Amino acid sequence: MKELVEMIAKALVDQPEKVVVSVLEGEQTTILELKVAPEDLGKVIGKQGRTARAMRILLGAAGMKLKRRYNLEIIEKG
Amino acid sequence: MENQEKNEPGAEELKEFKGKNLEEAIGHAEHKLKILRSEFNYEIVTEKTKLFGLSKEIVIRVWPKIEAEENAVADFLQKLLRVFPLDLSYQVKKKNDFVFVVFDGEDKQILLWKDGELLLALQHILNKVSNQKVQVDCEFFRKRKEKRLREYAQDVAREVCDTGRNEILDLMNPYERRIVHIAVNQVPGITSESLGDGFLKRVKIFPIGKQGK
Repeated sequence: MKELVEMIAKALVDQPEKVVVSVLEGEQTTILELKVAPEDLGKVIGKQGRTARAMRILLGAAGMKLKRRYNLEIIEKG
Repeated sequence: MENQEKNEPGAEELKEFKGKNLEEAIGHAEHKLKILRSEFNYEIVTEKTKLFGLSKEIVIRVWPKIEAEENAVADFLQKLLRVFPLDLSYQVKKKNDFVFVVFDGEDKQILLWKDGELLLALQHILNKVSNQKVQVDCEFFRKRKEKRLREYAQDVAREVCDTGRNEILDLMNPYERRIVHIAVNQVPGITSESLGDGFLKRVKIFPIGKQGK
């Protein structure tokens, strides 16, 4: 799923080279941490969080198929 | 005028055109480039008023819409489906200003779960990554949804007609509200308006001439 988040985020932002996705594997849940350039934060979140929500829906559907939970966390500072 | 060689791709295809107004400038561009206005993009470079507002000059920069536009959508989908575990196929078509994507494939039902949640999420992302108006569909989801919404809106409108009392519907997006307004206006004596602001609004259905609160 890392590739999925990375691929979408890179397509959304102005500075794709600054997109970093790290993966934290839990027992049932995989947490995907997405970092982007501060100027691009709005692009991955979207108005009223719509873009972030859309990405989470995609992850949810993928998780349903793979029988695993995926959580997307957008890191604001770092 | 600006003809210095830039290294950007397609820079040599950028052209500038002047006119007294936007219409005229676009007309010049169409004429010189021998392509229709639907086949190029433009931006306004300068817009000035000369001679105390008696004449205006506008300069636009024009570049052809390359196939890239619909390809942007197709390319993205191709890359996406390589890493997305659902089994989906798609067709991309361009019509007027819209890029239409129709999904199919083994997992298409998943797209339609929860009132098309995934389908609309994909639509949102495609719109964002391509700077285009993209509309997605699958299994006539759109047609069915529109029909359901139309029937619902008219049922409510008829109820308002009978009771004379206003009804306020749940939050809806602009696309849904448009369908509701059109459907409600077909019921004689009843009209509708949107309440609130933001992307999602409620629609109020009420008898004409009885604005009320």
